[in-house]
Amino acid sequence: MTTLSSSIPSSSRASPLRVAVTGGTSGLGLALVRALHARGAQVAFIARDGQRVQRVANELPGTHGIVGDVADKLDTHRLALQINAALGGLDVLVNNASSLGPVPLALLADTECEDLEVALAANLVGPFRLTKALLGSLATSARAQPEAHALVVNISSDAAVTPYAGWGAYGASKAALLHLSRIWNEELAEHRVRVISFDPGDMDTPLHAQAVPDADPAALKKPADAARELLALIDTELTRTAA
Amino acid sequence: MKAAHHPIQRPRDAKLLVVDAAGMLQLAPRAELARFLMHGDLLVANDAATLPASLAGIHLRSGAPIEVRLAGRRTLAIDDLREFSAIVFGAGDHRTRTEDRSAPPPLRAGDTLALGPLRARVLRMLGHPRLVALAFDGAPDEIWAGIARHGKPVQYAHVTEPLALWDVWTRVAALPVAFEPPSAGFVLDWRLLHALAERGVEFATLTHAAGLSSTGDPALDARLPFDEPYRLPQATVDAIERTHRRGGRVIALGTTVTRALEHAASQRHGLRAGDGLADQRLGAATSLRVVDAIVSGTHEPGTSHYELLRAFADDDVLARADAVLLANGYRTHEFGDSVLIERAARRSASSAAIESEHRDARAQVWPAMDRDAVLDAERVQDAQPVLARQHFEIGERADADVRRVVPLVGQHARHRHAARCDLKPVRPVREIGEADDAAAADTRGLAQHLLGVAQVLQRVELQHDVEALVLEQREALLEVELHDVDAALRAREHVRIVDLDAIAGALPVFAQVREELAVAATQIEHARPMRHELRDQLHVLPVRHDAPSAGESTG
Repeated sequence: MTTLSSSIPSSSRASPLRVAVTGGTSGLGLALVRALHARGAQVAFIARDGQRVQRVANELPGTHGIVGDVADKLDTHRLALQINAALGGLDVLVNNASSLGPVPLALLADTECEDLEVALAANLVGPFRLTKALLGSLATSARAQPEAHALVVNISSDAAVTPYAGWGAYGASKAALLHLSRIWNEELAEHRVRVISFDPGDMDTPLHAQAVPDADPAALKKPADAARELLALIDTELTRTAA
Repeated sequence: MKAAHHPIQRPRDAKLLVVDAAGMLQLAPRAELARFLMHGDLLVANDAATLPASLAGIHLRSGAPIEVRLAGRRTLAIDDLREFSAIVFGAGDHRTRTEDRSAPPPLRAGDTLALGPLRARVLRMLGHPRLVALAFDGAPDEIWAGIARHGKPVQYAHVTEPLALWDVWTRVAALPVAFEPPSAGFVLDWRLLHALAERGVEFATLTHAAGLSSTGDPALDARLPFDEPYRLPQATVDAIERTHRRGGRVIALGTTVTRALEHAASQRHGLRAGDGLADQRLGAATSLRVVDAIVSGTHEPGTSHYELLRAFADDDVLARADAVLLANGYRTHEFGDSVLIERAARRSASSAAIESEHRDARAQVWPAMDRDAVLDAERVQDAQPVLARQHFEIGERADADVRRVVPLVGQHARHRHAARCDLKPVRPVREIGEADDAAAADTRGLAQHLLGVAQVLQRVELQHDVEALVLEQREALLEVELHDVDAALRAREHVRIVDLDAIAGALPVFAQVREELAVAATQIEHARPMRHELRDQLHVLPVRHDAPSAGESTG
């Protein structure tokens, strides 16, 4: 298991790492916001429910809660504006907010196209749009840190690779996101913006409970453990020298 | 010029007018912008994202509907939202021309404005019934959320469709501090950034809170531009210094970048990273310290944008440019076409310093000319920029910024490759007439020219046929075409160039050429067509590089 590395690579950074996390009020996103906050990062998190956003912001003073829906095109630039304003720029974007598509899960042939669109909007088009709107900030961050990268982490899943029956909308959208990440990573290499995927594994989260209601929580990974792994990955990727 | 009515940042048919340092004009599709930027140049953009700075609401004391256009802030600090300056209109929206907008209700300090979810207090009037200092209630995150959700981009009547935020954000938009888009940046996309990187053009950004360009009120417009805070990153200062060292040009993408850089450079301690407040006006009297060229939208005379262009080019040049823009149907305003203006060759204030720099550079560079060097073919790009750059240089002549002339002599020579200097006689241009033979005979002189070529080749793509290169040394003008340069380079045969002064013998010839050019120039209104004609008529023999003469090659 990956262990928590000592600290955010502050040696190369004059100021705290600036991180935005979508879907930051539950599951992996919340665990990540907490872990980043504990490590002194500047964190902005996004979620749809204003009350939950307020609750998390109160729990973690100094974090910036932003209300919005990454699946909504009209919200994209509003969110990007608030993220940039709250953090004064951006070093890391974590596209974590995800939608299962149809709940309960449905065979693909039973999936309404609207449900597929919902999954694509949240898992593919939303991260695409938000990343695009924040690329200016990310590239500026990379230019300011000649030895480091800016980073986009797209939360992926084994369903992006393995064709699990019943996971059609989710799996297809995550597969597309995975490939989008790979292409973007190629294209943005010259700007030292890395775009990577992270598969946290099966976690004890609200999303997993929606998908597999009868799963034994004890058999599932704790989001906090996945968050620690992700932090270690972020540390590594930020300081990784260009190939 | 006509207004661009549709909020399309990069229309396929966008146009570019290039005005070089000699005042020569060239039309091009804007998609070819990269072609006019050279290896070693630096493009600096404003990465400010545009605020939705138009906030509709109610003046609570009177109950009257108002539109508030945020217009300025003292700093870029993200948590310093205590105070904005703002222009207040009465009822209505952007579909009414600003000139025709109704006045706001009488405003006074202490008035409360309800702007959607936001509440703002008028702190004080700023010397005009429309201009106020205001402060929002609430914590910064709430204020930003209110602006993000309730505000709309400031918009003028010439664009009819309502603007969305994505219409007014450039591809590199980051910190949301601009009140109107830094619209010169609309030319940017990631493809262009890639093309620039491929050409060896550096890219950097600063953040400048671009203010309103128009209020519709003559008294207020006369006060534009307001003071604008900016932030200059260390990485950008470093890039500018690198660019100066290598003799490249600093090209500002837009008036806001120009204003910020020139303000920073005018400070007592010179150009330094950090925050500043640009409060100066740039105009005909301005001596530019940092910016060598500007890429800008097209603007009508009388606007502050246009005034700023006068720092780059003389009025007669701008007048000719305007005529060309008009004749060619260029579109003006923020979504319109673009100009690239290289500053005229005059930099009196700092010329002494530059001259001394020049001497130092020569001292450094000339001894290196005896060294063997091999072209790094991968760093080399297509020949077009060479043409463009050399044309600029030719245009500058005696008045040229020495910083621009030095590179030809070999500012980059430390790593240059030297082409083989055993050159077959080059047949110069037909217009030179009898001069041909004399010039052609002076192969050593040509070899010296090729030193210039060599450093240029370092920048240009090495093809089987290197295209025409225009060379200038002192008074010399000569255009040659090189073939098979790469073959020699692949062979990695090194060359030493000798007899640096051989070219002097050819000078009378070139003086004659120049006289002819001068005559031509008087017959043709401006020099550009003449130069084209000259280029078009060039018929030159290939210069062979694969047959060195024993005496001159050390390889």
